[in-house]
Amino acid sequence: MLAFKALRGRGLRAPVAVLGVAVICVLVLVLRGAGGGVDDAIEGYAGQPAVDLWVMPVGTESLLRATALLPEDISARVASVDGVASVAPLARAFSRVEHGDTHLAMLGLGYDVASGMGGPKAWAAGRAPSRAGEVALDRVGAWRLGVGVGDEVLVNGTSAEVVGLSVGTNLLVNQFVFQTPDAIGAQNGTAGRASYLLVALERGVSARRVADAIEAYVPATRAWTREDFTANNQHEAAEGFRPILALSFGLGAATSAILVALIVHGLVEDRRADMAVLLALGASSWRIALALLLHGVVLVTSGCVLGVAAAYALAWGLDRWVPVIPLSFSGQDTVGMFAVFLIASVLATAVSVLRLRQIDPMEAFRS
Amino acid sequence: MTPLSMILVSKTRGTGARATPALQGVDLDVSPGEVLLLTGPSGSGKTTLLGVAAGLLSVDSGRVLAAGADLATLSAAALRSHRARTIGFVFQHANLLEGLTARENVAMAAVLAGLKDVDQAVDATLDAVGMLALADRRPSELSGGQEQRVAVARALVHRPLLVLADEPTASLDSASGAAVAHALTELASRRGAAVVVATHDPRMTRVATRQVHLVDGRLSP
Repeated sequence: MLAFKALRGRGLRAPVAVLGVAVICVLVLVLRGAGGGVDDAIEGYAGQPAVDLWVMPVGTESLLRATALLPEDISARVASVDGVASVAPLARAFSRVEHGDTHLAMLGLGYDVASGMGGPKAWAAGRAPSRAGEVALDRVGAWRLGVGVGDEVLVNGTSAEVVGLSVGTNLLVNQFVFQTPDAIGAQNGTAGRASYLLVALERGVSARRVADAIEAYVPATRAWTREDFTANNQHEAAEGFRPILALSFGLGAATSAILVALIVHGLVEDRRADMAVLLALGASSWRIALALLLHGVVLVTSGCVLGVAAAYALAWGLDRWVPVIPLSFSGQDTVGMFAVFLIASVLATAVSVLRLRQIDPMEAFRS
Repeated sequence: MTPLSMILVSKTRGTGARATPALQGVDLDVSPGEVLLLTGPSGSGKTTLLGVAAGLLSVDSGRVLAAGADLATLSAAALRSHRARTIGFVFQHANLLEGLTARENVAMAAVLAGLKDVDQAVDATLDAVGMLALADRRPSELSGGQEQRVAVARALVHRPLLVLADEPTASLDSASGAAVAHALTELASRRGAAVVVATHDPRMTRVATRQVHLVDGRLSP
C-alpha cells in the first residue's frame, strides 16, 4: 500500500480521469437504458399475461409492421377452435394527434375495453376510453403535446377528450394512443375489421398447439404465441438500435481504457525518479507494477461508481421532469459495463507498466 | 563480516567509440564502523563505485563482496533482497517519495527490508536524527536539511551493514550540512554500519575515519 500511495498522480489528473470515465459510463448506460426502456415497454404491452396468442394476417409480425386487416368473420371462427377461451379485436392505425400548434404521429390502438385485452399495463392518470370521442394517450405523448386528462385533442382530424394517460407505452420514437375499435374504424373507414385478434386460452392448453390449429382452420392468418410476438416486436424495435449501442459501448470502453492508460503512462513518466529510488531501495518491479495497476483499477472503479450513480440520478430526473426518454438498465448492465471497462483499462495500463523496464535504479543517484 | 570488499574491480561505461573506463582495477576494503570518504573530480567514477557496491551496476572484471555476499553470484531477486536488507542509501537530493510523509518514507525502507516491528523501528530512527516531531510532514513541508535527515533515517532504519551516500551535504547550507553529516556518521557508528560517502564537501572530512581519492577510475590513498 505504501508503494501505491507513493505513486499517486500529481494535481488534478486523477480526478479529471475519474470524471472522464464517469461521463463515458453515463453515456453507455443512457444508450443501454434507452434500449432497455423500449424493451420494457414492449414486454409490458405485447407480453401482457391476459393474451396468450396474437392472431394476424400472414406477413404481419409485429405492432409496427402490419400488412393487412383480418376478415370480418374471423372472431367467431377463431373462438370456435378447441382450447380458445375468449377473443378480442385490436384495431391498429397510425394516428395524427394534434393540440394547438403541436402534433404527433402516434400508434393508434383500438382495443376491447370491457375485457381489457390489448390495453395498457397501467394508468398514470384517468381511465380507459369507453366510447368514440374519448382517447387515452401515452404519458410521454401527452407531455410532448402539452395536454392532460380533460383536454381536447384532434385524432386524425376528429375531436376527442383525453380521459387517461398510460404508462409503459413509449417506444421512444413512437407512443401509443388508445381508443375503442369502433373509433379507429370510423376514422379509417375500416369499421368492423381488426388488425389483430387477441386470444385467451383455456387453462392448461398448449399455446403452440392452438396456434397451429388456428392457422390451419383460418387461411392466411398467423398465430404467434405471446413470447414469440414479444420477441418479434423487440427485434423490430431494436434492429437499428443494437449496432449503435454495441458500437458506442465499444468506443466507451476504448475511451475509458485510453484515459486510464494515459494517466498511468503519465504516472510512469512523472514518477520516474521515485520509481528509480524504489528500485534502488530494493523494491521489485512487480511490486511497482502492481501499484500502478492498482491505480488503474482505482481510477476506473471510481469513475464507474460515479458514472452509475449519475446515470441512475439522470434516469430518475428524466422520468420525473422530462419523461421523453425511458431509461431502464439493470444491475447486470452496470456490472457488465464495469467488467468490460476494467478489463480494457487493466490491459491498457499493462502497456504503460512495460515502460518500467526502461527505468534504471542508478537514476536515483542522478536526479 | 566485511561491509564492503572490492577486488580488482573494473567497469566500462558506454559502448563502442563512446566506451570510457569508469573504474580501473579498484581494490577497496571497508571495515565495520568505518566512515570512508571517497573524493575526486566530477566524472572520476565515484557514483559508479557506489552503484557497483550496491549491485546496481555489474562489473566487467573483479569481485565485489558487499555485506558478506559475492554480488556476482546472486540472482536478480536475491540481489534485490540483499540490497534491501543490508545496504542503505543517502542520495544528493534526499529523493524522498513526495507522496509519503517522512514517517512513511522511512517505513518504506523498513518494509522492503522485511523488518517485523516497523513502527517502533521507524520512530526510534526518526527520533535519533531529531525528526520525530516532524514525522507526519510531507517532503514539500520540510527544509532541505530536514529532508536529508529523514533520508539518513531511511538509510539506517533497517540497521544495514553498509551505507552508501552520494554527495549528501552538497545542496545544504553550512549548518544543515554539518547536522546531516553528524546525524549520518553518529547514527551509523552507533548501529555499527560502515559508511562510504562520495563527496566534494570538505565538511565531511571532519567526520570521516579514512579518505581515498578517485581519479579516472583509479584509487589513490
